[in-house]
Amino acid sequence: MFNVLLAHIQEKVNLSVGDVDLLKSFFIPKKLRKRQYILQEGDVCKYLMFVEKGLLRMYHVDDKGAEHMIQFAWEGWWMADTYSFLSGDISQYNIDAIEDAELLMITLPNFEAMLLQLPVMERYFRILFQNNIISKERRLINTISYSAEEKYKRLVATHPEMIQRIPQNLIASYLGLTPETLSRIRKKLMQS
Amino acid sequence: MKNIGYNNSVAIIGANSNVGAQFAMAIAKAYRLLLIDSDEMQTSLLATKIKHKTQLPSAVEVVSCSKDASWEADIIILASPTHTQPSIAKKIAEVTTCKTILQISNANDESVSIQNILPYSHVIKVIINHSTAMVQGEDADALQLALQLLSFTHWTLIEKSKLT
Repeated sequence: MFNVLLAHIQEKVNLSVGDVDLLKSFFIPKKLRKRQYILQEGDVCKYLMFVEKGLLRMYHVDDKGAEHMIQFAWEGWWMADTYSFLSGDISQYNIDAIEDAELLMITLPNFEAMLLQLPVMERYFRILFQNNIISKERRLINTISYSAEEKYKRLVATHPEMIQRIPQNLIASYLGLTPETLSRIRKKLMQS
Repeated sequence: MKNIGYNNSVAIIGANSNVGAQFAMAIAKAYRLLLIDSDEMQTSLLATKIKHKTQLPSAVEVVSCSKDASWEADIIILASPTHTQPSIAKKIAEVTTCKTILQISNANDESVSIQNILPYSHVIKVIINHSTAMVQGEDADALQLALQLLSFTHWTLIEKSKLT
């Protein structure tokens, strides 16, 4: 149940056997079924979630009812509306499962307690937040600087598993394209 | 509109027991239920009755494994006979870290808290005596959650802060 999380942590920092037992006591194990929500717009994001198994998406619904994909998370990824989680303000986002999922969730009080009792986890999360800032900057550059075709090519290069696993209409939304545009790009790339 | 089952799934282990069934009927409109009991035929009849009452077909489901149901649930109500509770607690321990568990017993039963079997869960003891429910627990949030659940039932609540 904790295999993926422990492997993910131990890629970055060292945990002792005692640390592992303590670490487990802070997390809520949760099974989520396909299409089941774990966060809905207007609620506070109460958990920082790690995906042990399955696939989640975070998205915003605009005034016209269109869904805009913000982030996907599969095995080994963390997911939360970080602003809502840390501030306690309501979220503008929805998070649900695209596939049946097994999550490990931590509340803010437990997150703070974990960082106090396991200082090694502060280093782990610092590395994670650094990586997150870099990937958000890259996504911003992708959005404002590249053509639709280039955006798709970059996504294929950096996250090939996403293309295999996530429905095309959701990938189009994630890239800020219409499904028709993405379909045209994919067809063109296959022909060339 | 919020979806049924969103962040408030309740597993009722021992759903066919008198208290388990009363709980299920009382809270079905507000929570998504996962019902578990050894007699699945009888549990299915209870589920059908609840669906008919609530008119919410997705609000209740019969599950065969208490561990799977507890893994999926946000709150667990352990309403099985008291002598079975320690062994069930051992079975679900791994998947109930930081979750609230209502341990139900009747006033006449000998019941020891399962908190020591589930050191990382928030166990609230609920002792039913005719028309009253005495609620005991040490975690304030879990106690609040238990009182919220019990407010849907007909029992008069008596609150205590310490587990015995």
